[in-house]
Amino acid sequence: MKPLTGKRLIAWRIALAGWLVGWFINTSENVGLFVSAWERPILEHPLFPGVMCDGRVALLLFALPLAGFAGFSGGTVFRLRVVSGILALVSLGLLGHLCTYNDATYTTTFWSALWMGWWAGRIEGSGAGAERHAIALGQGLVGLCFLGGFVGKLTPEYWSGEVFHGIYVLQKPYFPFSWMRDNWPEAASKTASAWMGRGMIVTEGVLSTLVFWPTRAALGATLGVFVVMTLLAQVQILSVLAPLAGVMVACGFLGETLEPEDILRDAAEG
Amino acid sequence: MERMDRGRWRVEVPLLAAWRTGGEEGGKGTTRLFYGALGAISLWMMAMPVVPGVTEAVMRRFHLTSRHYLAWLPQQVVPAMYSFANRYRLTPSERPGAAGDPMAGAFWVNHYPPRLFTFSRRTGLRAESYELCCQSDYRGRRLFTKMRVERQGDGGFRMELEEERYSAGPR
Repeated sequence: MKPLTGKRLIAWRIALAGWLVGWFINTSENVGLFVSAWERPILEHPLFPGVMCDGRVALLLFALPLAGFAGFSGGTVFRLRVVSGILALVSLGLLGHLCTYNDATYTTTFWSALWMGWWAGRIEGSGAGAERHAIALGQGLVGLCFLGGFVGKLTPEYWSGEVFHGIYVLQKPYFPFSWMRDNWPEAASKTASAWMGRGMIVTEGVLSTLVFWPTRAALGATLGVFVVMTLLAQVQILSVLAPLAGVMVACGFLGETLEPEDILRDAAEG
Repeated sequence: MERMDRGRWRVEVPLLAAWRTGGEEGGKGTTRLFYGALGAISLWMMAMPVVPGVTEAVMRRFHLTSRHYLAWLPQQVVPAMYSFANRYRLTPSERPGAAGDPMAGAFWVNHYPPRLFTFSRRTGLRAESYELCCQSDYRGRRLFTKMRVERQGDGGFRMELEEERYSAGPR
């Protein structure tokens, strides 16, 4: 069977690269957690089936995406679909596991893998229709992730800065929050927290509409916000952001390969 | 060619462009399913501020008190980073908290308050049993849960729900 080539495959691999960076960036922390749950669950909880408390299951699910590296060599549509399917299923598995259910990484890897699985089935085709849908779906799913955060923060405790102050200024051990805590009067840090909280809400609200944005603008805004988020948090947040960044960069790449819509329409109308 | 180069800088809205020039791709079942999933989840999220039942379902998801695992798991794919105003108070059972407000002196947490016993295991959990009180607030709606967490013979913990109160409206 002839191996796949071309820009569509490159776009798929860009998304795969973002996915794998996100997944494995927290390897040491995750593996330590899974090993501690190796012989006995670190917690038994009535909601979770026994198998979803088992550290060995979590470690297996975490390691399976090593198979994803097969997506970088040669490849057929079947292989890319199998890889994408594995990546989606392990994401769902860890979202449902007691050790990892709270980690938003697996929400973004799940959606990114769904996009990759859908796109894998279009790699052999031709015509710009599939690219346009790929871009719309890609920007749509990144916007969806922002929408979740935006709607969840539409509450007075966030708008007032109370939550931001409590989570970041009072608890985070790294700059700039530790510096604010040590050097700023409490009133000033609360005021700053209010504006940071509001900035976060407005930013997420604006980016939740990404599906309606021109692709270059969407790509620039998303990557810019991701850089700021990484500077304000720690590098581990890349586990959540890298899979989304991979999809966005893939969409930007596909967008650059397209002829403008009006040219296509004019051609179709003769 | 000139026209194409000029056209590259024209603004295209991806969703509209896909609708107008997406060809037969837009009619394929998997493509429709993908759009449908994104649309349905968006509606679910946007309903949260106005439909108390949706808020309650998401709060129970965060507190791990959904009625069944299979009702909880599908919600896990819905992005909800840093949703609600969440707080917790963890007290060793041999040092019960003061009577009155069970959330006095509580700490803020971004989401999933019970994660203290899994993800954030840096807290030095040395007592034999704990009382974990969690509270999520959202636009006047509140879920309060109290859990008993007992150390097991093998060193792990077991968490059991002792009390759960959901309220909506002015307090």
